[in-house]
This record gives sequence, C-alpha cells and structure tokens, in this order.
Amino acid sequence: MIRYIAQKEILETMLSLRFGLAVILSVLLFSVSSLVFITDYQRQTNEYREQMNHSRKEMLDRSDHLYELALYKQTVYRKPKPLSFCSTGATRAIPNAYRFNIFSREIPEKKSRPDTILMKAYEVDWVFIISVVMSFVALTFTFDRICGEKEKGVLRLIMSGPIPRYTVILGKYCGAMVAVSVPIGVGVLTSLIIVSGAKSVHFTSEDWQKISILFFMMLLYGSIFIHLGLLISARMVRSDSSMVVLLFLWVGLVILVPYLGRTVAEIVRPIPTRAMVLKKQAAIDTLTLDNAIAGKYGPNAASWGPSLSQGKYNPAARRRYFNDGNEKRNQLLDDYITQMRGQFNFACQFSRLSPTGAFRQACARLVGSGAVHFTDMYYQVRNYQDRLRKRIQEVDAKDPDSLHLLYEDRDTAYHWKTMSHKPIALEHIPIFREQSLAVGKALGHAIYDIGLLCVLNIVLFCGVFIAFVRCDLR
Amino acid sequence: MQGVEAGSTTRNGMMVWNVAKKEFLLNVVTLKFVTGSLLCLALSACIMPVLVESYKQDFNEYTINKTANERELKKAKVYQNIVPRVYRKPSVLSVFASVEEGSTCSTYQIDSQWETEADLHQLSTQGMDFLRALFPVVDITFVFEIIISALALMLAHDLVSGERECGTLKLSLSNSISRSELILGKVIAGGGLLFLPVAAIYLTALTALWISGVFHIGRHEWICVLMMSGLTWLYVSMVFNVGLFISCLCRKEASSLVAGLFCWVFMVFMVPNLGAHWASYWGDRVSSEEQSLQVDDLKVRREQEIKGVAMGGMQMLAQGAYGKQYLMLCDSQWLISGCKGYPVTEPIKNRYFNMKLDVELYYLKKQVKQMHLASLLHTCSPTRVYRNMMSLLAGSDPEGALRFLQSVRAYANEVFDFLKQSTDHYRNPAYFTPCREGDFALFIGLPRHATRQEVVDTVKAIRKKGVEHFKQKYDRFIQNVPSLELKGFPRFGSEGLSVADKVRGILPTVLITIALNIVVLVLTFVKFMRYDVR
Repeated sequence: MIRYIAQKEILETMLSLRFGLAVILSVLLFSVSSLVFITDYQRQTNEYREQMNHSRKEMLDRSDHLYELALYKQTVYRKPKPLSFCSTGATRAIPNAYRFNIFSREIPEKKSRPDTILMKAYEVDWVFIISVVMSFVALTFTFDRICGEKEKGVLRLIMSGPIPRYTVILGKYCGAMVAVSVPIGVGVLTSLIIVSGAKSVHFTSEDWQKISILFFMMLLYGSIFIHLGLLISARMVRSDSSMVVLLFLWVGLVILVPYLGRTVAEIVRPIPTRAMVLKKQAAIDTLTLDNAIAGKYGPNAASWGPSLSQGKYNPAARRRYFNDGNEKRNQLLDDYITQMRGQFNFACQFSRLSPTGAFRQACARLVGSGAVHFTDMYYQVRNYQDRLRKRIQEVDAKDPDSLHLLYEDRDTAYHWKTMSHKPIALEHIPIFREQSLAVGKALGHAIYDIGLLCVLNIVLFCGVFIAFVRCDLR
Repeated sequence: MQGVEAGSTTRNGMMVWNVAKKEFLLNVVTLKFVTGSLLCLALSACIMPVLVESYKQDFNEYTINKTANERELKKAKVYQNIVPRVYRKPSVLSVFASVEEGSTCSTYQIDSQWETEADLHQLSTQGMDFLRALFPVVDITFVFEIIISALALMLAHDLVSGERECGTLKLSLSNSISRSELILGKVIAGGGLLFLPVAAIYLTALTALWISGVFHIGRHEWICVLMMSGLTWLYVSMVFNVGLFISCLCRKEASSLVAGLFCWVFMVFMVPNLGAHWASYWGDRVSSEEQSLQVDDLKVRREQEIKGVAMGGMQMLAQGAYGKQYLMLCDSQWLISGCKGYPVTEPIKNRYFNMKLDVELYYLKKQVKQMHLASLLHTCSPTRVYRNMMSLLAGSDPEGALRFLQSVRAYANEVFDFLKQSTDHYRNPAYFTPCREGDFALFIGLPRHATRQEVVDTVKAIRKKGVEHFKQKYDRFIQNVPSLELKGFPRFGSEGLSVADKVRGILPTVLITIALNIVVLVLTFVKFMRYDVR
C-alpha cells in the first residue's frame, strides 16, 4: 500500500510545473558551477605547482650554506582540492600562503588568488545549491501534500478506505523523497560527468567515497525539509497558509540563523584585528630590544660587530635576545589563530541551530575545505617547522667550526659563524607535504553534524507522524 | 456634458479608492502580513545595536588614528619625516548597507621612501577574518532584500488567481467597475501595504541610532536616508508587481505561488551569485600578488636610479615623527652632500611613489571593471541592483575604495608640493636635519669652525672612551630641537560623494527600474484585461 501511495505521489509531483522547474534549475546550477570550477582548478593547480617548484629551487640555492637555509623564509601553499566544487568553504577568501623559517612564522596571507570586490553571498557549489535551492524545492513539493488534498476532499476519500494513517504518511514521505532525489541526482550526475571529464581533475577512490557520503548527506538534508513541509502541511488548513509559514521558516533556517552566527560570534567572542596583531608584534620587538639594552639577556646582547675577537660581544646573550622575541611573536600568532578558531567555532555552533549550518559544516569537514582546513594546515606547518629545525640542529652539531647558536640574525650568522656554513644535501632536508584527511578521519570530524541531521530527521518524522495521526480530515 | 464627464471621473476615482481600501484592509490583518512585518521589525531591532556598535568602533578608531596622525605631525623636526597617514571616514549610513567584504581600502601612508610591502594599505585590505569570509553581513538592506521581498511576493501572488478560485473576482467584475480600475486598486493597495513595514523598519533603525548616541547625522545623511527609503519602496513595489503579473498568468493560486517563489529564488539568490561567478570567470584576473611584484619591481628600480647619489659623513641619529629616524647632528660633509643629493633623489622617490599608487589604482580599477561586468548580468535581478544603489547612497560601495585612493594620490602631490616649497626644492638642510654648520663640532666639545680632521680625531677618541657620558647631553639636545611650524600644510579631506553625485550615480538605474516597473504594470494590465475570470 505504501508503494501505491508513493507511486501516486511521485507521478503527481513529476507531472507538475514545479518538478520541471526544479530539474531545469538543478541542471543549470550544477553545470555552471562545474564549468567554472574546472577552469579555476586548472589555474590553481598550475599556480600551485609553480609556487612549490619555485620554493624548492630557492631551498636548493640556499643548501650550500646551512645558515642560509635556516634563515630562508619559505612559503608553503594550500593544495587545491579536487572536491572543492562540492564545498568550497569560501576558499577564495581564506589565506592560502604560510611563510616561515625555522625560527618564526608570519601571519598567513592570500596569494595568487584572483582578488575580487564582487560580493558573493556564497560560492555556487554543491553545498549552496542543495542548502539553499533544493531545500526550497523540497518545501514546494510538500507544502500542499496534506492540506491541499484536504481542501480538495481527496484525503477524506483516501482515508475512507482500510488504510492506516501511518501508511499514508509513509507513502507520502517516500514519494516526496524520490521526487526530490531526482533533481538532486540529475544535477549531481551532470556535475560529475562534467568534472570527471576534465583532464585536469583526477579523483582518487577516497574522493569517490567522499562524494558518496556527500550524496547521502544531501538526501538526509533534503529529507529534513520534506518532513518540515509535511509537518506544516498537516497542521495547516489551507495550502497558502502552509506555504507562508514554510517560507518564513525557510528564510529563518537557511538564511537568517547561519548569517546571524557571525553577528553573535562577534559580540560574544571578539578578536583583535590583523592590524592590532601586527602592532603588538612591533611592540614585542621594541620591548625585547629595550630588554636587550638593559642587559636582561646578558651584557652586550643588543650589539654586534664583524669580528668576535674584540671580546666586546656576547653571542649567547644575543641568541637569548633573538629567540625570546621570536618565541613571543610566535606565541602571539598562535594565540591569534586560537582566538579566531574559537570565534569561528562559536559561530558554527550557533549556526547549527539550523540544519543548514550543520549540513554546511559536515560538508566542509568531509571535503577538507574552509576554515577548519586552514587551521589544520597551520598546525601542519608548525609541526614541519619543528622537524626542519631539529634536522638543521643535527647537521649543525656535526660542524666543529660552528658556535651552535641557532637564532635569527643573518649578520652574526655570517660573521660569527653562529650556525654552520657547510652545505647540506637536499635529500636530507625534510620537505613539507600537505596531509589530506583520510575518509575515516574526515568522517569522524563530520560525524557530529551528520548525527545532528539524523536526529533532526527522526524528531521531525515523529512530529509529522503525530501531527497527521491527530489531523482533522474534514 | 463636462459635468457628467467630471462626475464619471470622480466616480472612477472613488471606485479605485474603494478597491484599494478593501484590498488594504483585507491583507493588513492576514497571517502572512503580520508575521512578515513582525519578523522584519524584530530582526531590525536585534541587528541595529550590533551594526551601530560596529560603526561606533570604526568611528572611534578613525578619530583616534586621526588624532595620532596630528600628534605625529606636530612632533616632526625635519620635513623628511613628514609622512602623514590618511584615513577614510566611516559612513554612519553603513548601518543600512554595510561595506562589502574585500572592498575595504580605508587607510594609507604618504611615504615616498616606502620600504616594506606590509604598509598600512595592504594591512587593511588583506584580511584573515574567517567570519567575514564565511558569513556574509546582515544589515538593514538584507532585511529588505530577503524578507520584505518575500512578503511582497506572498501578498501579490493570490490577488488575482486566488480571487478567481474563491469566485470573488467574478462578483467584483459583475459590478460597474472596469478591469483597469480593479487592477489599479490592487496595485495601489500593494504599494500602501508595503509602505508600512518599510517605514517601520527605517523608523526603528533611526531610533536605534538615536538611542545609541549617534547624533552626527547631518542634512546630507537625512537626504540619503530619504532616498534610501524611496529606493526600498521602489524595489519592494517592483517585486510586488512581478508577483501580481505572475498571478495574472496563472489560473490557480498554488501555481502562481510556486512560479512566484521560483522567480524569487532566481532573483534573490541565483542571479547575484551567478553574476559574480561569471564576472570573475570572464573578467580579467586580478591578483594581489602580481600587484605586489610590480610594486617590488618599482622599489628596485627606484633604488637603482638613486644609487649613484652619494650622501654621508658623520652623523648622530634621533627618533622622530612616525617612528622614522632623522639626522639630529651631522658634520659639514653631510650638510653639503645632503643639500646636493636630496634635490636629485627626492623627486625620483616622489615619482616612484606616484607610480606605486598608479599600480594600485590600476588593479583596483580592474576590480571595479569586473564589478561593472557583473552589474550587466545583475540587471535581471532587482535585488542586486537595489543592493548596488543602496551601497552607493550609504557610501559603502566598492568604488568608494577607488575614490579614496584617487583622493590619496591627489593629496600626496599636495604634500610633495608643500615639502618642495618649504625646503626650496629640497635644497634647504631643514629638509633632513635641524642642525646647522658647526653644531656637530660644538656638540662634541670643539669650536664651531674646527677642521674636519679635528672632528674625526675627537670622534675616534670619544668612541674609544665610550659614549655613555654623552647620553644625557644627547637627550637634552633632542628635547631642545624645536618642531616644525607647518603653516599651510595641506590636510586630507575625503568626505565621499556629495548628494548630487550620489543622485547622478543612481539616477540611470532608478529610471531603468521605474521603466521596468511600468513595463511590468502594463503587461499586468494587458494580461488582466484578457484574464478568464470564470
């Protein structure tokens, strides 16, 4: 019986104007976003390759002297993700370049991104299409499923037969679910055909697994709005009242709550601006210089000359002076990143009040894009920095001519040989390799949001069930 | 006959008024109108304090920075250290239409000896703020763009098709009322209905501004607020008319609702995002890294050009205005070489500074060009057109950054001209040092006219002994050096566009919008004339 009711619902929906509009919209949007992605991805990949080769070449040029390599500020870039057409996570706006040497790190920056002052509320990726457009489509498919049939008198006729109410509601849900899956499926298929057909994009088996999980999440998300549509439809008497309520609910859940996450986070967790952080860094430099002049690190920490033989200089004190400054600056940056992360997490937590927020977070974590990836990359860079420093210390320890005082001062490194001047073989230099999250781990990060979507589905289904069972069919 | 005609006109007018009154009263008490209006008011009341607070913070920072800049100017003891910082005044109207992310260029330093890439301009435009990247801003324009437009559509979608389904349309037209009068009444009622929430939201916003103590709203701002409210009403009326037109196309209320909502999603979400997407795809690539490389190249070329100019001698440096060092004391060799060298190097540096500004302007213009390309695509979406016009009136449009930079360029030339005139084209030693011939010799304890060899020998002896005992004398000397008077020094004034300029800016778009509105109304009339009311 459920099958017959579902079949009837599917046919009714597919023969309506709204279904045709939804399929056309879906194909159009998915195609456009895929085409734009391919060109963008190709350019990003070429640029990434050039940048990393350039960085490698610069390191090779400096490998003739260990101290040059130690002082060299290399830049590593975030690798473009082949799945960013699914969830960009505002990648264009987030910094992608991390500049550092073994002593200090700079504030990450955006480099080689096409800067634009065009306002885009969202990137047109899968997440946008599903979270904004398809959720709306799901509501238009279901807003009059119950109240519309009640108005026409059809529901009374159906229920006059020996059909339990739960069968009817299950049938309606299944029918609506299949009807919504069709435009989503067609759109996703179109997008995958376009993207996988491009020469520059190569999916691994892990990528395909992630795409499958994403598709499941899309259906989960769409199902929430189907339940919502059925629930309001069951509670309302007239279909236009049902649409009004659903429209305002949709605006609230899909637009307002996610947007308000920022406003609330800025109030509850304010963070300093970048300019303030740079000012603080400059203040640290001034403070450490004053301390050095005052003799806090030892006598003559602030002075230097070309020759150590005069006996006026103190390399050990100078090392303490420089390293103290670097530690404070690095700590400041780490604190800034932590504060930013805290503010961002708070905004995400707030936006999870809406299923749209949870869905977006889940997609970004699964694909490995957005702010989560940025901070993850920052910590990877930090770990790499530690590994590189240890390696350089090991090589330096083998040189008897070196003073083995590693600190960030080119002049003294050159004149006093505080670090080794011997060459280092390139194969002994650890190379930074960005680690993408495996499917299991990515799923682990996204599991909270996926769980939230499942719970919402269950809760809303119970609500629909109860509302329909108690619905007056007259 | 004329009396009969006049009476007929009056009767027609009364009919239109009665229809409008009926539609107005019918809809003003419906669930959709009440819910939509209350939602908008509540949202505006919640976000206004946040927006106002943000504006107040920006304004305070602007005031503090401006004061700090004046303080630094007063500290300048040599003309070389005059490197003023300029700031863009935040607009109080930005609470209505916030600055679009990525378009901020709010500060600059006029320093022809720019050293580092990370100057203030770069700082303000490169953000690492995830929230701004991932969560777009909610301002008053957003409330109108999304919620009021949805409300307008909900009000309009069943005015014709809904009445046809109920049978009341047949009844209305069976009386002595023409179709044109009926539809006109509905249009007037819609305009009147939508005026209420628009006016209420603006009043709420202005009240929130007043309560927060933001009083510096002048005549210019009031005119802009009036224009904004007029534009808003025009925008929501357009959405209403589109909804009414769709209602005339459909026979069933449900069909007109679905069709209307798809149009709304298309206009409000898809076209703005797709337009921006396509513009960044088809338009010229604009990369800040290319810009940085060009600026670095300029720096290298500048250094090459001034490399051959030798200036030097014995010197004592001191910390001056804007954290820059200056020659507190120098010997005659420095004085002579400086007076010969600076007239050569400074014009070169000024030229390269202007070239740097030109590079930045070029890239900003490219971005603006992309924006104009997107605007072409956005003409299918009244939402985006509306947002552009509101941003222009609020002074938060992306072209504001371009105008600011153009003002900075003009101001930089004024500053350079002032420095040239005050120092006789950089020939006056006051450009680089407050000291005069013989001051250095006097400071180290020699007579004013001591020879160079005597000065060199004395300095060597002092260095051997150590300079600690000179420290007090040095500190006293610095304190006694007077600051420059700076009479006639130009001040930066970037007050944004005047009301006339803003009107000129939005006028073509407003006229096009009004024309489109009229076209939609005409189509609605034509369609309703042929509408089957059975």
